Amino acid sequence: MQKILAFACAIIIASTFTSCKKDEKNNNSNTVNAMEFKADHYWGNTYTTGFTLNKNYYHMKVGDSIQFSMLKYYITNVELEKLDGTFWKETESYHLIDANKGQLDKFDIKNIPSGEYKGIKFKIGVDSTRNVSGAQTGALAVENGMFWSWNTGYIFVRAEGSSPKIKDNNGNFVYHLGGFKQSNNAVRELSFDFDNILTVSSSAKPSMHFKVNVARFWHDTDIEKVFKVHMPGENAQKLADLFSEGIILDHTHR
Amino acid sequence: MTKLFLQLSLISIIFLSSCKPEDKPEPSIINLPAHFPEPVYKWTNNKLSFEKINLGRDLFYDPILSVDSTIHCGTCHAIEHAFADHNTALSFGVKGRVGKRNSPGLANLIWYKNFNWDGGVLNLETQPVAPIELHFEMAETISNVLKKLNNSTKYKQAFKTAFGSNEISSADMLKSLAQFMSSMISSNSKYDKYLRGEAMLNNFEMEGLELFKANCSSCHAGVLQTNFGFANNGLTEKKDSDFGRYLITLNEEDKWKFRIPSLRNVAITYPYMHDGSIFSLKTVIKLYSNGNNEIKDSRIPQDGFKFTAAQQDALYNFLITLTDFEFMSNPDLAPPF
Repeated sequence: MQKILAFACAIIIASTFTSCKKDEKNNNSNTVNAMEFKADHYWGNTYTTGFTLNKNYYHMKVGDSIQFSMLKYYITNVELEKLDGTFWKETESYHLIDANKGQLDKFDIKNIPSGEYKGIKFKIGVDSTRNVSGAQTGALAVENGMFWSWNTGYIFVRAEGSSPKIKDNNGNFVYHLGGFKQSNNAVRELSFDFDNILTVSSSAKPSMHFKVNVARFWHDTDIEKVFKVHMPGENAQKLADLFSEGIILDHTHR
Repeated sequence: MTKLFLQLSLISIIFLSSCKPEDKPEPSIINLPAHFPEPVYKWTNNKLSFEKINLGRDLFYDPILSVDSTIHCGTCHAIEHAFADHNTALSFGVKGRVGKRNSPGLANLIWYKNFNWDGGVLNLETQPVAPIELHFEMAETISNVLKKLNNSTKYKQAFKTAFGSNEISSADMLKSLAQFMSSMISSNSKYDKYLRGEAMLNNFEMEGLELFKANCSSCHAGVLQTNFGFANNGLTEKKDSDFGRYLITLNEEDKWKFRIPSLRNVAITYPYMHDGSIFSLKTVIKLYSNGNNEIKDSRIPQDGFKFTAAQQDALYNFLITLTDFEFMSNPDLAPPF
């Protein structure tokens, strides 16, 4: 009798301990399962001229050259589409792409449940909750230079550079694109179907190769007039539209 | 045996209760005044501890946060001035730079949804990023502050004790500052004591309170004397290029609107208004009494509230009862070195 009681008590105690875990995994995911996200930067909509910082590129519509000194942006809230049309969501899904790393920057989407996937969706920008939830870590840490200190909110896309076409501001353009409040929301969501079904497992790490046309900002923008965007508003929304239009999923690797 | 079972069950109950989210502060660390409303900042994801509060106090008073180690938060938010500036109209930053607005007194910050005169900052934890990085204030970068802190044995040890981390992160730095700021609770003015039934107001102060309730409390509402809104009190439109709330919202109607401040410790925190343009409290009362044809807020009559000289005196006497001397001499809030 005593033994049974003691055993029962032990179970009660053990269960209270385990119940303290906050994020109980309800899938049989292997923690090393991953998929690679490549962001490859180009100049122009033919995606043939590779793009890097501090180099002059001629823009047909602008009619002059443009040079970037900085390009950083957030890829967040990544979701992978399963064959049945449901989505797996990455937790703490905040990634910062920085063109300072060269033409191509990349990150891994981790802890993906084993299985087959047919598509992806993600956001360019930071969801409203994280904009107002206080001090954040990782890609969202304030020292990454992507946070407005005086007007709370993340800069979703930060592009800076110069062009002889700009007559003011020492010829510099400064695009700090953000805004999470309803009327000036600059978060953009993109979704893509894969060219192949991608299988994720502990022995298979597929890769997605995205191409980003950074010249797209001026597809429909007069650089002589719009060269300084440093708060949420109409210009930020329009430039956010243009930037996301320049992103394509070129191919995947199984 | 039954006894053993009970004991073990009790232990498991204790473990169960430890799973509850830490919404309310432990009473021994921060006591919330019973006559105040529910706070906005609730220490979610920032569990209170004495170590973190003390670390936040060290940071608040350490010039390491400024680019040339000349000024700290307490330079413009001095405890003896109820955490307002040293009676200067505009705040002074590094290298003799003069800011654009008056440093407001700090108190009861956990009851605010937003911060600064224009309400641009939306979380107590991220508020310090602005004064640290702004050119007219500390002109430092957060990444450089982290470099300096990580080179300091004292701070490395203090952060390890408080957060259990080996590398100091901006999140932990901001969370400890938020904990110290959350401990700046002013609730022991004569008026608080009157509300709690611990003190009496004299006839003059009572007359002032009645006038205040009748005329001022639609904006300066409740126990914190603010409805947390923004208003254009007619001071600035012609002479001032500071658009205030408009800079945040870009709504035309928000031009020249500024925060309706709490009046707690108002007798101590002169000069007044967002630009520090009015030096004495009696002049402020006179301004609202006489009116001003630039006033754009329907709650303030353009020809003023027409208080008599005696009524102005009574109001002045009431406003003095909002001074919390215990707050200004609280050793837990004073500079630690």
